[in-house]
Amino acid sequence: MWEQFRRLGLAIPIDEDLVQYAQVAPPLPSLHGAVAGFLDNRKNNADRLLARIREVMQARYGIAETLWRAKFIYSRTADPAILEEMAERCQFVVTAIGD
Amino acid sequence: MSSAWRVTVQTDETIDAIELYYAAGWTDGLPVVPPTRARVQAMIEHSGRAASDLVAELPPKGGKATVERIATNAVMAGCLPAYMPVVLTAIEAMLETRFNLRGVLCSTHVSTPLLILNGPIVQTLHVNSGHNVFGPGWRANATIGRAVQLTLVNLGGAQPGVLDKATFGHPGKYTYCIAEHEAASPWEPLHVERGFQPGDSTVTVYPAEAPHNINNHGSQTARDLLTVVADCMSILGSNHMYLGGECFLVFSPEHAATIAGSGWRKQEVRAWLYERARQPLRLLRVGGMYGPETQRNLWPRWVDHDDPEFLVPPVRRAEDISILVAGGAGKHSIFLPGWGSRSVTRKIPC
Repeated sequence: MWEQFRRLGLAIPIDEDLVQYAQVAPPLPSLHGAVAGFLDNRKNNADRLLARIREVMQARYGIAETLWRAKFIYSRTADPAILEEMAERCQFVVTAIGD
Repeated sequence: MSSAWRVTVQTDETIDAIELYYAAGWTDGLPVVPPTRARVQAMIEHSGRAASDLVAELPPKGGKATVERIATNAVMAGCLPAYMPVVLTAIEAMLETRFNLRGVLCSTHVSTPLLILNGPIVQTLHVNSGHNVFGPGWRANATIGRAVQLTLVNLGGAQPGVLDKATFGHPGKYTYCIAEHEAASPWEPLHVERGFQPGDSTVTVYPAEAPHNINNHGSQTARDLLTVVADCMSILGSNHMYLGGECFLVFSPEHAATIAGSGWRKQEVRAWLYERARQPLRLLRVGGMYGPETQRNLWPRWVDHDDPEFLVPPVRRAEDISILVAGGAGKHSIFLPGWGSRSVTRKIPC
């Protein structure tokens, strides 16, 4: 489609390479024995929702270990140190909002 | 008219081009000016920067916003090349942490970036600061604001309903740009208060809800007039009552004259409003955004959480109430509630 714009001498207002920056990670073959991260964004009830998800996942999928972290406040991005720690230690991370 | 702006395509081809941009999902729902190479190049030249300069990796998706790509969006918005430094400076200003652009763009809340221009550039670019200042009719206001909004969607990826999760949004998401009416103000203008010289041109970016009118034809003194303003500032459904942040008041020249006629400067206005634009804890507990986070770290430490009659202010400090003068004749002013984060003012390189 973008070729059509170029052929007409028209510029493109987007970053055509954006798709390369954020790609979905390949799915895990199994959750059994995995380290799971849970990132609470501190919206009301987010902790309760995540705690229940953790409970269910532990019971059903044999998760080996969990790591729980919370953002300072829901409206800001998570502290980079938290994200780095989770990326290093966890095979997958679940985050959720409440309300 | 410069050669860069000479029409080079037939009318039906122009309409075909507009339809192409619609089909690609790169418009705000209104027709765009087809960004021909010549038009984009003219915009780049007026920026004083290289086409490939990286201005930002714009949230939420992190698209690389180069000067050329922003220029493309500015052409599509209908900007003149002379507007380009304003568009670039506004986008750079929004990247400061205190603005929290990612949050503003993705929130369910209704706010969107508002641009406020100060200094000589207001006259140079014919930016409206008077009658109907938030409304249509001025190319600079309409297209500078639109260029910023198109850039945030096309390069930031804040697609409405996809990553922009606003429950309602508001018409300012098409365009939201005003100027202060410095000549009609009895006080020093916003940018001078913030440390810039009167001869500097600046853009202030602020995540704002739609303008909320304050009709007051009756008050003859600052105290009476601001009593009405204080009531508008402390509504229970406002983010401010729970999150603080910064809020803006836009006084009309007539209201500003009434207040100044009582001998009040901006600092008296702020101090008075800070003391009176409050709500008791018992009402704040009824709903709104009341919850553990409000109590944990958002209200001032001196709020007594055990006293249901304790009066809570909408912002943490009087200085968080920002004031400017704009608009035409008439006894109305505007309250601009925000999202909970803060404004940023930057000098425009001219």
